[in-house]
Amino acid sequence: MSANGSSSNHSGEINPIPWMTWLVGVLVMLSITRNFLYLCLIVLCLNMICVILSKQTNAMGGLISPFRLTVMITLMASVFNMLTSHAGETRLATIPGNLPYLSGAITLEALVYGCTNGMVLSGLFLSFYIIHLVLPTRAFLQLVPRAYHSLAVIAAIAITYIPSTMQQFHQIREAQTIRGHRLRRVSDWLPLLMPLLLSGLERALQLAEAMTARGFASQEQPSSPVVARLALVIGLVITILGLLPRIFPTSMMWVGESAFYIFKKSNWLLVAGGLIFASSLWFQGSHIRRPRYQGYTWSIRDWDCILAIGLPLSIFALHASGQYHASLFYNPYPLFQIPVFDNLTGISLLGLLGILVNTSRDVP
Amino acid sequence: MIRFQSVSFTYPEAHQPAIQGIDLHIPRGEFVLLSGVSGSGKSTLLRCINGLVPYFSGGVIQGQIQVAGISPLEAGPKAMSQVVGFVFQDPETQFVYERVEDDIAFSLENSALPSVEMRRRVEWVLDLLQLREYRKRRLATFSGGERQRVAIAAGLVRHPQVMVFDEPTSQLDPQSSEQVLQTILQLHRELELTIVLSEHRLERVLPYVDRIVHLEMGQPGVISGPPQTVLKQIDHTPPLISLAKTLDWQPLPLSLDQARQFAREARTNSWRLPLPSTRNPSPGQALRSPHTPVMQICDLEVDIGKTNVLRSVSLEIYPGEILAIIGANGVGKTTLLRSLVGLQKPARGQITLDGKPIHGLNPATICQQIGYLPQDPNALLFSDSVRAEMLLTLKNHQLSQHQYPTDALLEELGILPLAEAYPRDLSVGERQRAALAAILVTLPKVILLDEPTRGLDYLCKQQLTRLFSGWREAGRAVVIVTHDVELVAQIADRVALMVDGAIKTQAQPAEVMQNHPEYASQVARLFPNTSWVTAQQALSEMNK
Repeated sequence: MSANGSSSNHSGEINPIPWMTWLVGVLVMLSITRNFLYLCLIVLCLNMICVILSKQTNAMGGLISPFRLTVMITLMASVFNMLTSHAGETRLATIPGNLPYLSGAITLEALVYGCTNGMVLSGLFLSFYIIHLVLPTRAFLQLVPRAYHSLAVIAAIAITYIPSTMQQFHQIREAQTIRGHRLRRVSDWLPLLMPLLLSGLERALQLAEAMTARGFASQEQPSSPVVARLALVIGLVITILGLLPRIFPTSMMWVGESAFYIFKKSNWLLVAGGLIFASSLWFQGSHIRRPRYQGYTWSIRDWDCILAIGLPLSIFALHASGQYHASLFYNPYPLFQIPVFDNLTGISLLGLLGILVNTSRDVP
Repeated sequence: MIRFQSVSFTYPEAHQPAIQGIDLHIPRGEFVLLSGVSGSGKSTLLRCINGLVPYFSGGVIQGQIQVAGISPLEAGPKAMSQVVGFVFQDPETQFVYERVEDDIAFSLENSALPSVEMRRRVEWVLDLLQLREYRKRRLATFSGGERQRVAIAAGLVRHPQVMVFDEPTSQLDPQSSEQVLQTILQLHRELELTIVLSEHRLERVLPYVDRIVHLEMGQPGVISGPPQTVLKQIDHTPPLISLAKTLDWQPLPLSLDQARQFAREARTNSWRLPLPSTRNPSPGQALRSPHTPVMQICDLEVDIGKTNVLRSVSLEIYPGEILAIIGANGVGKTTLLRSLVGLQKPARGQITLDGKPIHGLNPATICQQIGYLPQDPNALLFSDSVRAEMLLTLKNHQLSQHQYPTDALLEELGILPLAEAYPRDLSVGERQRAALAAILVTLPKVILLDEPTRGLDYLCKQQLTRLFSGWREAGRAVVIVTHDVELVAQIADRVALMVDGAIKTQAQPAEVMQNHPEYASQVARLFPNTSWVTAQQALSEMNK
């Protein structure tokens, strides 16, 4: 099966679809649960995948290790929440005085909640980093609707600018150091920002010039019909309407009780909005002639990947409405208790590592 | 194939035209070298060929241009990309994707070619440039020469009729440059492509070109014609050409092979010089004493990640001496310089300055006594004026500007009139000197320069050479990392050749060039059994 119908297939290429499915699955799990035991397992798996892939790709040389990054983020989130949120019954210490936000009780519950948030944040970062390690930029573009290919290329370049900007920052810091510049205070960082900005602009212009010279966007494409573009907006609006009662469950009362009821019960709004949106994208893309250099084949290992993420995700979905509901939606407030740990869920989370079977083909 | 008729172009907000009154005709299949000093308009002219000027740059253009029957002024750069392949000076700036095959296919996807055709063309270009085995590799893992080959492949894959190269070898060592030039030559021969290439180091390209188009700074029009004709009219030429012009060798030899016959005749007629070198010691060399090195490096080892980049490097640097460090790309030359100013921590070994170890000192402190100019001077310059750059360095080091006169240094560097100019608006050579002003204002006793002549024309190089000689005579120690063997021949007192992270040999330039012909200057290769390395030496010995 070819992912995009292209006639040219590369069996050696990693198919981006299983990896993106895996990413979506991890993101869903990270956003569903606040059980720090499960989160620990997820973050541990992500760390292991990061380390293995970093070795395979020789990436992260000289940069911070994934484990250290996890610890740093978790620590920062814990300290921040502990100092600014004073809820909870297990008092550890008290900050005296009238310092805004800071004064008050420091509680174990705030510490645990902060730690949980830190793990979610580091999990998000690591999962994106894993995708960055495995998939080349072009693979991402394969997944973007054809109608928006040019925009996607620019977005992809913007993403790849982050590592090169970091490298540039390193060069500029060194260049200023050899002129005697020292980083002692926050204000000492300011002289580095201007050259970084200037060199960033210069690089952007050079790349834009090179892309123009290489014929980027040289193929004139027919513009999409107005109806298709209108449908895109309508689909988006309906989806947002479906999301509103979920995001602001109480503040939707102003629309009246009956209307609120409709909104609240209207999962179909989400589905309909999503369908209109996707159809519009497909329709607009069908007018665009954009053959791709490479397509991707599906192998048994791609299905393994889907299975690897499908198993823990299914168990999460079952538990979300079942008897283990409390174990997923754990909340340390008002009094800290060890969260419930379901062995089956815990074991299924190790399935996240299953994605590694799909790296041996060709990690770029 | 390419025709310019009375073309003039002025950049936005510029007072003078960048190019003026250009009349030029380049027939199909010709290999043309575009020469001229920095700022004479070479890059502008190249960009006119594919329409980047004026479409991308803005500005006012006059006259008419035709390339393969199309007017770039009407069609614009996107349409011109079908007929003109463009390879930029720094290949890194033109890569969009991170892997070889993906990046080469980028242009084809933009053309919306059928997938089968894309595959056919990518395979063709991979074979042509011998990149097949690297097709899946990340570009970040490539050497400079390999990257340039990928950039050429990316330009070539759309089957253009014209290939334009903007200083393609300026960042490469001699071996990689030769490989890239051979690749270009192969394309020219096999595909009968029209090639327009700009280059400062003419000696690398002259043997291959059919014609030279020379732009004179501030002068309208071009000098165009066969290489021998044009070279006679140019002041700043490669050493071989200077020698041949002085000795009136006719026809003017463009390559060493062509010059060898003349050299043999001259040799049998007059002289035969024995080794060792008869080169007179420079004034600075008189100051050199084996007992008083200003810096000592003992058994230095540097690891980057798991790679052992420097291996047991021992070196002494003397006051009043110019030491050149040469070697292929990636052998650790820059790492060595970075270690000397504390930017790279050694794994083992010791570095001393005036007998005191620098280990543990902040690089900012070390750089008060050791001036270090990195490869890219742009990273240093961001103040509003050249003078402000110097004052900032003094402020960083908490030094009084009254004790360190800035004007004297600017005068010495020849940029006093530019003291209030915005550094990033300066030409390449002026910017290089502005960066030197920013690091030398503390009057360091040791000066480390990483590729100081990269991208500079012969005139700028001459000015820098005079500057370096002045520092040597003033008793400063100068260490130059360079690929420019002509610079080494001209100015170095001692040469250290690095191979695989270690110093393979240290000797006078003539000796190193005799034993390692790949790093020999043109004159050294022309007279292999002598100690001559520059045209001036050869001429003065012949006069004797």
